[in-house]
Amino acid sequence: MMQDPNPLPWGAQDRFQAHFIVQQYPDEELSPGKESESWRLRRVARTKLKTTGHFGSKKVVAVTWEGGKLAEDLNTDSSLNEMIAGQSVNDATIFVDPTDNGIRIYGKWKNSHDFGITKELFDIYDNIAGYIKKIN
Amino acid sequence: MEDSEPETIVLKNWPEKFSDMLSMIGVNSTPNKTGEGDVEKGDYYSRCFSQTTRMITNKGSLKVSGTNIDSVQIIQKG
Repeated sequence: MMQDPNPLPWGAQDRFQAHFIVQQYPDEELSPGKESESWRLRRVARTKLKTTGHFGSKKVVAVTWEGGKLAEDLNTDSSLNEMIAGQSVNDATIFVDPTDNGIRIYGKWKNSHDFGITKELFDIYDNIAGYIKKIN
Repeated sequence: MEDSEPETIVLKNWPEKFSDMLSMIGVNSTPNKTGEGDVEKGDYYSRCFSQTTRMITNKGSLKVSGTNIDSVQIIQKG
């Protein structure tokens, strides 16, 4: 039997993500309104990668952060950014996403075979979490 | 008739599997029952980033101790 050339895109897919969460919440005295928005904007960050090569041979050569105050702080830590540059392009793509139920650090989606955590990647996330905890 | 021993499979959910992965790298964690972790309630994305996936499934969470990270949540796309 031939495979459907246009499979329907619904249903659970073999793509997983682990969110590493720092349990920090918008200050209730400050919300709602602009104060809560600035709480979020100070903590949002994502990596911007400088790479060489293409496809399978693509490698990360440098990492910078873009976003709010947290991104500024992370940009000053060259040893952390060197650690991130040592990861694959997928693992070096890191998002810091401040939600209402915690600040979430996560990377790209992975299939169930590749899904997991290495010591180096956990140390990177743990370092980022340390910076999140220092922000006022 | 089978001429070999049947395979024994230990059924584990994602938080339990992830907790095992964390213990292998020296991180202590305790899996929560699915749906019972605080982080599993509410939105999982702030929508600060464009192209955030809308259809997702919560696969559970675990509590992490002794690090700056407080908990981990596993999410499946779709």
